[in-house]
Amino acid sequence: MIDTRCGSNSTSLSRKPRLWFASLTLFPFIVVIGCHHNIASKSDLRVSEAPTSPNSMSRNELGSPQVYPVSRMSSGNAPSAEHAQHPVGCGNACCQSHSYRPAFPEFDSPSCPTGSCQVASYEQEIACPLPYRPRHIDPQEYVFDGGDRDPQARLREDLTVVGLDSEDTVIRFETESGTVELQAGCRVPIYAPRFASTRKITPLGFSDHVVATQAALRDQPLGRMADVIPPTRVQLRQGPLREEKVDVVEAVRDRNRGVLVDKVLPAIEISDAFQPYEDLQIIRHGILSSTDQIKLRRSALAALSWSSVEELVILVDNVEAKIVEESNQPQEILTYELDGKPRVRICKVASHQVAEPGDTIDFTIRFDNIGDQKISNIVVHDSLTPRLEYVEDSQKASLKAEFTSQPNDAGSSVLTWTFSETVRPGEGGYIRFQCKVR
Amino acid sequence: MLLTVLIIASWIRATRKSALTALVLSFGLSDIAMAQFDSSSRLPAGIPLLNDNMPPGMIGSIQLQRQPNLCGYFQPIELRGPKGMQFALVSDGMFGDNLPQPVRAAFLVGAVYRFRAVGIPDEPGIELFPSVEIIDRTYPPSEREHRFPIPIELDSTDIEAALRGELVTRVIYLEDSTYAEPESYAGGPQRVFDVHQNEDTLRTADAFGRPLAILRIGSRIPDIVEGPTAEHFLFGSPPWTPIKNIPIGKTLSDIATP
Repeated sequence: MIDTRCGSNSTSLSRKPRLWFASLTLFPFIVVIGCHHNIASKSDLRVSEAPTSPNSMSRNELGSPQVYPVSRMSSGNAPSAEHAQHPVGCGNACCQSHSYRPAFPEFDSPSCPTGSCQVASYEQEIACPLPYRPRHIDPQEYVFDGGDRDPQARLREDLTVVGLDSEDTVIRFETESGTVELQAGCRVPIYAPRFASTRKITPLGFSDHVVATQAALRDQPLGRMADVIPPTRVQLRQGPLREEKVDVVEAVRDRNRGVLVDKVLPAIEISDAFQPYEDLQIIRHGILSSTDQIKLRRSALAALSWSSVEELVILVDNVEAKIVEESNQPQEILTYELDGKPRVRICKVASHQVAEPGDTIDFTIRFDNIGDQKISNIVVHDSLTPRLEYVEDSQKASLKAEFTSQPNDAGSSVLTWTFSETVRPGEGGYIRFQCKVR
Repeated sequence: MLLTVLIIASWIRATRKSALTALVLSFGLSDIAMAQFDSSSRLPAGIPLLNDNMPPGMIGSIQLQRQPNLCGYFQPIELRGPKGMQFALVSDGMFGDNLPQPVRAAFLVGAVYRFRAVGIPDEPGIELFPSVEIIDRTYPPSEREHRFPIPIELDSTDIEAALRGELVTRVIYLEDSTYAEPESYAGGPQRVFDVHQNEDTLRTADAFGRPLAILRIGSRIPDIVEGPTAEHFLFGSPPWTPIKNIPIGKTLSDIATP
């Protein structure tokens, strides 16, 4: 599944004793849950047990994506009135009524988690799955970058990061209080399907049929083919085609706008001209505005449509953190820091929402210190998915950083930026790099 | 379960085993049988429900039964072939004009389409009549369906095998991006996995991703390939709609005439 949460999980490795003893003492009377998952102490590195992952994509036979209804279909995919009267190629009667008698009961039986229910019979009326046709999204058609897939990335005692899967983007930093934290960024979906094929060459002597030419010589149709041959009365929805690129003029106009002086980032080793896809307050000034949330949601709309409860969440305060704890990990126990609340927000955007193999995509990672402590020793890890190839010498960072690129297990690269500067509260930086879609 | 008990009972009677042995054996075998035929499992082991040997239209029909949302959807496809090859699609029982490749059209999911391939390299005058069965669809962002058609590609290996009188079955599938091969095939021919005759192309494709279409190429040609009497050969001439050709990397506004 697509997880589009920004900073949805974080772990920390504290360098001094914490109050986790109190939490354990009061457990199970006190269960504090949230998005800020502190690991108790340096010597007590606790990796939470991964529950049965709701993020794992369920596939049925033939790899079909799971059905995730979005809304009642008001778009062109909805069957028209004419369509309803003359169902096109429908093997069942769902186009005309709310139930049908299955022609293939073994396929239409309701799912039985316990395995105790029986296969439907031919005479049994089966209710149509939904009174409308749901919209589908297939994550296999997307290339993702960002976020933190299961198993979640964790810090080890030697401050190395484990569980860094392909697609993951995490930031590691150290606070004034001596805590080393790890936080994940948001996940960017890019529609970039890639096709391949399997081939079998069968000599005629071993073949049971030959492209149905026998059927042309028979009086009766072959099998159930007559049932699936659709009539010619169909309608194809027509709609305006839009351009997904952003006009360059938009960027020039935005540069003339007034900006907050105290939030202007030092443009070191990076062009001062923001790219059109970076037209977000959170990228430009590190300020999360309400309009940005809408734009970020729109960019991740595909993910939202089939993910159950996850949504693009940027953690700013405790109120939004509750959204995360409701979604996936209610079993997590949080020990609060008493000496400040170090927190970093990391967000990632891409220049294209759709791409074809061979296209080049610009990525921008923006991180901000939204806590009340200085943070230092900042390290950003971005493990690329196998469908993305890093373009050499394309990375730039607004702060002084050492960049390394190493191969990962998926056959792509792990990009690492090690920042030497200290970031004060309210400040941040950003990274740009390019990837080629394989 | 009942059948298992009866079989075990008859075996016990013949071999004079104890009743406890019969009970244990019957429960054990019934568990195995239930696990084997568990309808909730994805693909029962050893019992393939779908295979590439099914007649054209069968798999698409089952897919429509299982996923009613596929009903009536026009899936964009793109026909490609070696240089110089042209394709003709069927409309109202007759083959249309030969179109230069790539031919982009939208086919109905679940239907089977016959088309004609001419202009085969080094084989002038030879025609092939492959068929394409659309068994699933893609889910591109709204109003961008035209940019991501399913590539239906004939290469020289397919054509040579078909001209030898063999049947070529190709299952075009969507790669799972998470486990995709970290190689770039942009601008090149479609990636093909050749499987053995004893293997199933459909199941192999299902293991790699999500099967979308089945291309069958043979060389047999019936006496009549057009007209009302060739209805079955043309699979009923299902409807299709042409799609404007847009070069790779270009958009509608790029090719729009001022």
